[in-house]
Amino acid sequence: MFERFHVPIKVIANRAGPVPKFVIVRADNCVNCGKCEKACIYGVHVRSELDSRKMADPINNLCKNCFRCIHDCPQWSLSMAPGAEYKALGKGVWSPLRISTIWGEAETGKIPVFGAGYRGIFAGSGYDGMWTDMSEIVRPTRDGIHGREYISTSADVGRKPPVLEFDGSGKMRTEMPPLVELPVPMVMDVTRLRAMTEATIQGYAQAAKRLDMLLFAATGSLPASASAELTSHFVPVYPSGTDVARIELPQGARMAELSFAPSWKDDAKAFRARFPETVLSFRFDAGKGVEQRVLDLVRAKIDVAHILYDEEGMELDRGELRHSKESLRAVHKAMVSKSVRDQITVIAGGGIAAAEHVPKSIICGADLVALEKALLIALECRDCITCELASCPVNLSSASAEWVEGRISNLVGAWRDQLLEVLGAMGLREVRRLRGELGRAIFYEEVERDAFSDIEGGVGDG
Amino acid sequence: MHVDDKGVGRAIFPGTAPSPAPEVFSAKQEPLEGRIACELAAMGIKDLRIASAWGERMLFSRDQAEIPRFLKEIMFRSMPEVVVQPRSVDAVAAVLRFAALRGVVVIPRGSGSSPFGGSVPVKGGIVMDLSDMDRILEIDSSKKVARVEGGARWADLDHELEKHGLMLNTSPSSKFSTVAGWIATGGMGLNSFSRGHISASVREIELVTSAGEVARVQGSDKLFPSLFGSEGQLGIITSVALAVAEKPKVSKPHLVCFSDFRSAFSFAYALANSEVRPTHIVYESRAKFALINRMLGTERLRTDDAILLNVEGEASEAAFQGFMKSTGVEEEKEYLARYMWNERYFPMKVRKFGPGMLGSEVVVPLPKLAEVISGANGLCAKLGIDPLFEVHFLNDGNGLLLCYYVTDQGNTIRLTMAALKSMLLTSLMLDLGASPYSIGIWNHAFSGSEDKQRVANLRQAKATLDPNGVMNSGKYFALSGRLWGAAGLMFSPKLMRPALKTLRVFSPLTVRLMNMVYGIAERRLRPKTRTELLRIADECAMCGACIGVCPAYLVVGDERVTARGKLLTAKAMARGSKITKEHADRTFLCMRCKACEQICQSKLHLIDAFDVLEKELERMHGRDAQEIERFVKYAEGLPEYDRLIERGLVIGAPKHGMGGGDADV
Repeated sequence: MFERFHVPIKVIANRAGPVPKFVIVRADNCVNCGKCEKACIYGVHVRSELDSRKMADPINNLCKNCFRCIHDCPQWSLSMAPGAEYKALGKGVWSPLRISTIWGEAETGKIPVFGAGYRGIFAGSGYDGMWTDMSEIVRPTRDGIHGREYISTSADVGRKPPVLEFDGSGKMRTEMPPLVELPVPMVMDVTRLRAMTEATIQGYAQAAKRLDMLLFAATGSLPASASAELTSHFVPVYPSGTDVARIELPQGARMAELSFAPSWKDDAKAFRARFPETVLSFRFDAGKGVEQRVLDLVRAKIDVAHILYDEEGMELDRGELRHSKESLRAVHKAMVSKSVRDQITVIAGGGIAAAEHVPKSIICGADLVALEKALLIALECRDCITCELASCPVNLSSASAEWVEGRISNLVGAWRDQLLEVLGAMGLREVRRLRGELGRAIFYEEVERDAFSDIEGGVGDG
Repeated sequence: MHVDDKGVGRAIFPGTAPSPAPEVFSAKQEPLEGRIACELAAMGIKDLRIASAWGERMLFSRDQAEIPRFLKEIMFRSMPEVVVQPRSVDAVAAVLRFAALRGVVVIPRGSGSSPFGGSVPVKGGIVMDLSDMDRILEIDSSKKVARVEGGARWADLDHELEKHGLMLNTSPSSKFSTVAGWIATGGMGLNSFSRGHISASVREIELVTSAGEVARVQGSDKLFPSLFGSEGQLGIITSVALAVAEKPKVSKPHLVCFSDFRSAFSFAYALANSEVRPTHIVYESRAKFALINRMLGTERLRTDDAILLNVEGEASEAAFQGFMKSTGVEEEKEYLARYMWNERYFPMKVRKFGPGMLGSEVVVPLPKLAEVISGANGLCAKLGIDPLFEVHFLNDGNGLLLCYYVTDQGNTIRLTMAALKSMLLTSLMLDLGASPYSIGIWNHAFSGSEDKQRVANLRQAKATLDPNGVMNSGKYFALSGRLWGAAGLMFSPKLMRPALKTLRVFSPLTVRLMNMVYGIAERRLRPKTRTELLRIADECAMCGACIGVCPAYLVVGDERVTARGKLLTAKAMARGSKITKEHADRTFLCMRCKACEQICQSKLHLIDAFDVLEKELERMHGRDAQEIERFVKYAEGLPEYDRLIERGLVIGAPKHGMGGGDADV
C-alpha cells in the first residue's frame, strides 16, 4: 500500500522571546476599564492573571496592527509604535517580515496570514518582480482540483535517458540511471551555514529522515550517533580537490555531491566507476556561462547540477551578476533548445527566503530548491551581522535536536502547504509540471516593457 | 492536512471563548447586626439597602471633621444602629414611618462633607444616606430649571447642565456635596455675591416628613425659608427644582494683591458698589498663598492679602478694566487668577500639611469684618496658631468668613487642644458680632446667636412636621448625648460660652496650661509613629469626592469600597478595631481605575495606599480572587459603568496619554 505523504505538524514553542512587530504603549492614565480587552480579537490585551483588576502588559507579538484598541480606548491612553528591534532584523531579501514569517511557520507549521490584505510588494528586485498565475482561484471547479490532497509535490533527483531502447524480445536495453524520488521539491543544505552545533545538525538530519528529504552536508559533519541511522537521507558533499579514488561513501548513501573543479570530467569518470548505483551531483557557483556549464554536465551524463547563489539569490561568479530568476531561466532555456532538459536535475540554492520562492524558482527552471539560511532562521536566528555561538541572542547552542527537528518539520510543512495552494490555484496536479512553466508567471520587467516600450521616453528601447 | 496535535496554532481568544459577563453580582452578605436592622429587613422595603455591619456603620459615625475620638465617644453615641440607603421616595417614607412608630431618631446624610457634625448621630439611631438618590431627573433648558434628587452631587449636576449650555447659579465650595445637604446646612457659597443665597435659586422642594407624607414646598410657602439651614430637623429632602443660569460666553477670574487685609477689603467694597457687577468676590489671606506655594513647590504666587473675583460678560469685563484703571492697582497674571479660581472648589487641600485642619465658619456683617479678623488674628497669635482666612462676599451685606489652621490630627492631645482653640476662636468672633454658619454638634455652644425669629420659625415648623422628634433630634434645639445629658450640658450655650470667654480672657494662662498638658501627655504617650498608609489616611480631606466617581461603589453601594472608606478602614485597623473577613473582602472590590486618585483634591497616592492596605488584609483574611474576578466581569458588563467610562470617570481630567502623569497645575 502506498501511504500518502504528509508533514506532521505540532506547535513547537519559541525558545527566545518573540520580537514584536508593533509595540503598544499603555500610558499612566489607563483606568483598567477593560475596553481594550473587548476591542482586541487577537488577545493582545488581557487582564493580569495575578490581579484581575489590572490590565496586564500588552502581549505585543499578537498585535496585528488593527488600531482598534487605540481607537476604542476611552482614555486615549494607548499608542503604538513599530518595534525597533523588529525593524532592525535582517537585511536585503531577508526582511523583518520574511524572518518573522519563518519564525511563525516554524512555530505553528501553519500558512501565515497577514491582516488587512496583501498590500504589496508588487514590483521589485529578484522574486519580488515576479507574480505567479492564480487564475484558478476565480474558477475553482474546472479541474475539480480543489482537493489539495490530490496534488503531488514529489520530485525526482537524477538523470532520465532521452530514449528507451528495447531488444527484439521486448526487454529494455537501456540501462536506467539511478534515481532518488523525493516527496517535496526541497532539499536541505547546511554546507554554507554558520553557527552549526552537533545538536542542530542532528536535528536537521532527524527532520530529513522524518520528512524523507535529503540533507546536504560536508562529510564527517554528521554526528556519529546519527550517521548510522540517517545515511540514506544524507548527501555527502566533497570539497574540490578531493581524491575521488579515496572517497568512502557512507553506507546506504543514495547520492553524493562533488564540488566542480577543472578535473571534473575525470572525477566523474572515477566516481561512476566506483559507485555506479549512486546519483552523482556537481555543485558550482552560478555566474557567467552557467548555461554552458550545465550543458557540459548533461553531455557528460552527470545526474544533478547543484547551482549555488548567494544569500540574496544573486550569482556568485564573475561578470555581471544576475538574480537566480534570470540565471535559472537562461539555464532552462539553453537546455530546452538543445532538447536535453530532462537529462539532468537542477537544484538551485541560495536566496530562498519565503515559501513563495519555491514555486517561483521552479517556474524559472529549477527542479528542486535547496533550503539553506531558512533552516537557520527557523531556529529563531536573528540574522546578526556578526554571528558567534557564544554570544547568540537566542542561545542556539542550547537548542535540542528534537526541538530543531520539530521546527524544521513545521517549516517544511508550512511551505509545502503554500506550494499546494499555488498549484491548486493554478489548476496543476503536480509540481513536476510547474518546472519551467514561464507562462504561469508574469515578470514585472516584461509587463513594463510591453506597456511602455513604444512610448517615447518610456522604459526599454522605445 | 493532517494534524497531530489538538493545539495547533493559537486560538483567537486565548483559552476558551470569553464567558459572558455575569448577570448579577452580590458581594458576600454580612449578617444583620442589631434589632432595628433585623426589623427593617423583615419589612422587606423595596429600593432600600440596609447596612448594619460594624465596619460599614463605622463610616457613618463621623463626617468631614476629625474629632478626638475619646471626646466623641465619651460624650455621644455617634455610632448609628443601622444605616439605610433608600433609592426611592417610597423607601424614604417607609423608613421614616417605621422610625416614628419605634421612636428611633433618623439622621439624614448627604455626602458627609460638612465638619460640624450635623450628620453624625449623638444617640445612635438610623443614618439615612441619600447618596444613592442622586439622579438628575429633568433639565428644562427653556425654563432654565433643573430637577434633581436630594442626593445628587453639585458636580454631576453642573456637568449635565454644561451639555445644555447652562450652569449652576450658586454652588458650595465642596462641589461633591449633595444638593439637599447644602440646602439643609448652609446655602452660602460661590457666586452668592451675584446670585444670593441658595434659597433664591430653589423653586420647589419635595420633602418627606416623619409621618411618611410627601410635601411639596414652594417659595411662597411659609415653611419655605425654614427649610434652609434646617439641619435635617424637618424631614428628608428627596428632590429639588433649581433655577439655573445660562453659561456666559466670557467668564474671567481676576486676582488682585494688597499689602494688608484692610486695603483688600476697601478694594472689595468699592468693587462691590461699582458698575462691574462681578459674579463673586473672595478675600484670601496671605497664609493661604503661602500654603499654595508650598504645595506647588515654588514661589508662584505673591504671599499677600488678595481679592479674587470673577466677571461674566464682555460689558462687565470692560467695566472691570475701567475700575482697575481708576484705582491704579495692578492685577496678577491671568493664569494665576485662573489657578486660584479653580482652587475655589478645593479648600481642604491644605489639610495634608498638618496633616489635619480645623477651623470655624461664621457669617459676619461686612462693616465688622475688619474688626473680627484683626481680633481673630490677635487671639491666634496668643494661641500660637497661624490661621488662614477666606471671606466670601454675600449680596446681603454679610460675608461668610472661613478661618482655618492646619494641625496634626495624628496626635490626639494636640488635636484636642487645637479643637479647643477653634472653639475659643469662634466664641471670640461671635462676641465681635458674627453669627454661626452651621450648628451641627460642635457649634452647639453658639446656637443662641442666630436670628431669633428664624429659630422660632424653625421650632414651629419642627412642631408641625416632626411632632414625634424623629428627624435628627437630639441636636440643634438641645444637644443629647451620653452621661445622662452631661455632654449636652457641656456644649450648652449657657455653660460653654462663659467658660470659653474666661479661657480667652486669661489666654496667656490658658496657653501655658495647654502647653503644660501637652508636654505631660507628650512625655507620657511618646509621639506616635505613623505608617505611610496612616499618613495618607490623615491627609485625606474626607470630602467624599471619590465616592461619586467610584465604579465599585456603583456596583456594591457600600462606602467601604471607596477610597474614603478604605482609608477609614486603615484608621480603624490602626486603632486596633477588628476587621471582619467580609469587610476585608469588600476592600478588594476595586476596579483600579484610579478615578479616586484623579479626583482627589489632596492628590493622595491612593492606589499605592490600597496596595499596602490590601497586603495587610490579605495577611489577616486571605484574598478571594474569584470574587474579585466576578466583580470585575460584572462591573465591566454594566451599562452604567460604560457610561461612566465614556463620560470620563473624572470630569475635566485630562484625557490623553501624553505622559499621563500628574495633572497638578
